[in-house]
Amino acid sequence: MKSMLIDSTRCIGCRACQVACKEWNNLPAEKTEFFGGSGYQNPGRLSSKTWTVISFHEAETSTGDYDWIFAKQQCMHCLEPACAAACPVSALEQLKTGAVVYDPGKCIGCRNCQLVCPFDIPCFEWNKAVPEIKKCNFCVDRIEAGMEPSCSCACPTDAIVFGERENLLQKAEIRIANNPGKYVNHIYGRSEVGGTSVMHLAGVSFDKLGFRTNLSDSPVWDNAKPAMEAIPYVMTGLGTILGALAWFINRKTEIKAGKEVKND
Amino acid sequence: MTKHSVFQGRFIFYFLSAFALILICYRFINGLGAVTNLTDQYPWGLWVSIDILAGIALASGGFVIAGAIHFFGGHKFDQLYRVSLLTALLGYILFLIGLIVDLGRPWNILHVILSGNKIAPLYEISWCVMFYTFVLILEFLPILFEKRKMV
Repeated sequence: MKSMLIDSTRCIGCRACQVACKEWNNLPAEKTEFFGGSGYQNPGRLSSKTWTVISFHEAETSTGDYDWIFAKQQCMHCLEPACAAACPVSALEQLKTGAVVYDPGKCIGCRNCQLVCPFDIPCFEWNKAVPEIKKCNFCVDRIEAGMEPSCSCACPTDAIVFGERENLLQKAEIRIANNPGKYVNHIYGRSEVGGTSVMHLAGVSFDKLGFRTNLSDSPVWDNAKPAMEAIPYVMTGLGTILGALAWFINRKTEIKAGKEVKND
Repeated sequence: MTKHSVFQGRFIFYFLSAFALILICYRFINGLGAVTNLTDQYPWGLWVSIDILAGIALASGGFVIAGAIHFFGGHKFDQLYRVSLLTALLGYILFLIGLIVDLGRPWNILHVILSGNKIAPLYEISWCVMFYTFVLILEFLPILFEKRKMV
């Protein structure tokens, strides 16, 4: 599984990744407003035209000072993606590389992926007659050509590192162990909703950086599992019972009424 | 039946329907955002629940009556059969029209059959909608044909 490790303590908030993302994916510029999001971040949040945003946060660091702390918002490319599980037409699918990608040729535009995504990532083109769901595709074309995603390629401080998931997990553990006090002891994305391909390290607790910290470690689809797995049995069971009952009751009425009902 | 049995206030509904048709045209030209004010944070509107409440709830009566007659020999309901069946069919047609407007790309709906994702709850619901509509049309066909003396 290809993965990405994003180290918030190394990020200087230059947003080269945002620009690189727009350039590589041919995304148009957005009309933005100052203070449209939290603090100085710009644009305010992800949209169909902006697949990654560096969010700006003012938070208390471990030394007791207040500081700008930056976090990168983008698709987390879950190991067991809720969007792909909930899509009725398999328009969202996980590739072997770990990238979760979208096929507009299948999409019916139900927007269920937006509802189920625990990270609020997929965006819909609300003002188009032929709309699509838009989100980070992990630069799947670059990965398949043996390159790294454009955002990690553009990062000047190596805050974004691309590689195999196990190596990155190891790297993250070493960073936490070798720098006591610098990091909170948590790799965001290691186990959240069953693990994600995009993982984060930070110097302050993740809820201060806009991350959801109330997520369970089991995949989102596990909530639907009991109901969905019962359907085939309920359907065949109910069909058989009702069919048998109907045959029995109708046969009884037929016999009671004699031959005239038989031709009805 | 007298001529006056048709609801006199129906012109209000004609007007509402015409207005809705204009809005639907506007929606298919300018996108869902132009008429709904939905956002990425609120991708499903309240109208989804109202649409389903009205359409599907109307249809449930038809299924219950038809089930009682066909499965359990409840022939004392025979007089209710056609009325409830018509209501059910209208309910599902209403629901389908609502779906066509609500779905962003309704022309891809056949992909539910072609490339359906069998673990998705919405896949099951899509099949229910298609299957129930099909059953309702099948049940309703004899009523259409008997007037033309085809059965």
